[in-house]
Amino acid sequence: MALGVYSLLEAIVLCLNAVCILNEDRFLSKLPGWGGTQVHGFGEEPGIKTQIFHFIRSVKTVMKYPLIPVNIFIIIFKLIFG
Amino acid sequence: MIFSKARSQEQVRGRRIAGGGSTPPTSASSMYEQQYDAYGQPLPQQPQLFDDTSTQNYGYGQQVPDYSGMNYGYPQQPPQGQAAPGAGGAYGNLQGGMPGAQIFQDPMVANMAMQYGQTLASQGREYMDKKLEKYVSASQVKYYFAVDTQYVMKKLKLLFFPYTHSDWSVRYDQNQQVQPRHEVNAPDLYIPVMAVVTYILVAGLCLGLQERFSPDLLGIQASSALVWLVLEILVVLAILYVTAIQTNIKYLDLLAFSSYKYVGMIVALLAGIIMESMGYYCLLAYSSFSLVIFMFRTLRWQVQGGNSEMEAYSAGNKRRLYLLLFMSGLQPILMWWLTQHLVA
Repeated sequence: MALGVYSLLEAIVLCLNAVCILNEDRFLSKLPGWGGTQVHGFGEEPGIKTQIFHFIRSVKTVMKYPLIPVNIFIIIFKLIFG
Repeated sequence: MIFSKARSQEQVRGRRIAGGGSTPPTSASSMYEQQYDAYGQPLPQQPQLFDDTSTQNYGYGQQVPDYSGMNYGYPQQPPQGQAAPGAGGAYGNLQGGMPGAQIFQDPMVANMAMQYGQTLASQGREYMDKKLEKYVSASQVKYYFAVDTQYVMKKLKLLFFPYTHSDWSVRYDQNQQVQPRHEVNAPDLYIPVMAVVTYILVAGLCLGLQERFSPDLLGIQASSALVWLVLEILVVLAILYVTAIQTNIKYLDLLAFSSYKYVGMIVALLAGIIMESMGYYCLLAYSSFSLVIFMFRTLRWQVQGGNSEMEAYSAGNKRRLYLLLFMSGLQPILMWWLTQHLVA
């Protein structure tokens, strides 16, 4: 399968889109364990679920606004060049 | 040819690093030999012992920096800010001069200009290095290329016959990262870089032998290999983050370990050229088998050996084991995937 650098970038953008789209009110709040704001004591291992929630929250915080122009650019690019 | 290139690479690196940016390559013992300032431009050669009034025309139209407090008796110097030292005024004597360009022929001024240029350049270089350090960490990369022939031979032998090697630990220096040439088990980036390039070339060879070659196919192969490498590293990093395993592994180590499979791929491809499908599958099976053992043993030490004192992380140990198995098992799959379309 011939993957190019552009395909990799597109895949990454699509995955980040998928993470950012998750709606906070309708979906994420309903998940058990979502509101975990207390930080664990030092030396304890956080569970997989908390790590994933941290990841989702940080991706949404960081990438929500920059992804909009990136998506617009990719859409225009695909419209013009196919 | 590969090994001499390694040595010359390392020598070039060593020389470049030892040279730094603050001292000129030639010893600054006397002002009378040809010296270069930080921009590589020749500074004025001989200090003039007398006033050279033969060149009074103004070639560049630039203004000369005004070193306040130094009066050399040139009445026509307009006060200006300091221009880039050594860049413009250095050719004053040779190129038809500038207003008061003879000031640079004075040994003290030329000395000062040279030093100022050097400090500017070294400051600029330090600033850039500090900025880049967070992302690329250039000072660490050089350790990965400090290899020699012995290390390369031993490492290649380990990649294909990891059965008899017993001690897989890496002895770290106190403050520095260990150089691979002193320690066989340390990861290096020289073999991976060479292996990736050789893989691309061998892929071109395979394609050519099957009459399917075209130059852009070579580029496609190259970017495909790199993309799979990046993907693999991203997946491993994501797993490391999600499972919160604490390891001492650095990103460059991961890059090195992920690229060791290219050596096996090259061997399998060459066997596929010589002996069609049979040789390819045989050697692919054998090299993936030995690579799995190699990766498992090396990574077990790297991932676990850092904190062997803390026995409380029993859950962490199980996660580490799964991660190891996943990484080791991923190698044969990727090896097969990346070479399968090249063999008839």
